Amino acid sequence: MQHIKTIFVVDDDPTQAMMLQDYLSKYSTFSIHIFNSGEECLKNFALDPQIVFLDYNFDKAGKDAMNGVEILKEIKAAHPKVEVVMFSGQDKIEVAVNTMKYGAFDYIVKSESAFHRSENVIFNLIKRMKLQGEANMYKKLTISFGIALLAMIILVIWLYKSGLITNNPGWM
Amino acid sequence: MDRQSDLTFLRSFTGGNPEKIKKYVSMFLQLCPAQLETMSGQLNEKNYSGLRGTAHALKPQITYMGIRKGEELIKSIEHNAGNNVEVEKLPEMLDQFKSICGAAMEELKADIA
Repeated sequence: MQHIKTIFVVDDDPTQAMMLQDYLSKYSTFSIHIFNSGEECLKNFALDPQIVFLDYNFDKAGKDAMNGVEILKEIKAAHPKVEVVMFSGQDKIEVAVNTMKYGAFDYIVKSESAFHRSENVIFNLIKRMKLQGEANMYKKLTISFGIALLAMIILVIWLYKSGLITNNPGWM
Repeated sequence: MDRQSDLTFLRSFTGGNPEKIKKYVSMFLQLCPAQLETMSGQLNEKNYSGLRGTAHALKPQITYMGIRKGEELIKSIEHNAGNNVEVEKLPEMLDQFKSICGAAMEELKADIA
């Protein structure tokens, strides 16, 4: 799995979090960490996650616990490259749109298909990272080629002006 | 009496691994009674927002354990409590839900015994 090594699962429902961890652990290249609150997740960002699966509601984590959108905003503000996928039991479009507005990569409704969808999201992210990598490589190649061409033009002009090359060579 | 729970999803999810099925069912059996108690307390206190939250949190587990009749009921409880509509029906709905969950938990205990 290219570029994705560490995944955070942040959910106050231990069964949901463990099921997702078990489902994704078939890919042994991932290191998956579970946190039951947003605060705990933010404290552990030194583990450098590339994807965070984040619950929308943290009712069980206590009254003062940050909610999903607050955690999402903090993550995107401090780590804009980290992709956040929101998880919720609500299949309301306005909830999904709201999370996307704050930078969530995707929104998954907790259901029987949620685990398969999570896997697809990871594959889509890997594809996107690969394409971005290729685009960056072509950009660098184009710039290098442009510089080389410019250097050659300057060299030819310099040689021409120095009289080392002429448009009337003696052998013609 | 018809079964209230259905482990088809869990069997498929775990690839039929009995240890994993047991792990998830045990977690459900451990957490569900406390959540039902919390819901009863919230209803008695007319804390409808809290009741909506607890119902919402329990809903996915009800789905994964294949408690179909409970799934419909908990969605209605969440909706009524969250939107403050027909709150007078909530006690009856919660009783019915607890009865379905009670029967489902007995089946699940037997399944993993």
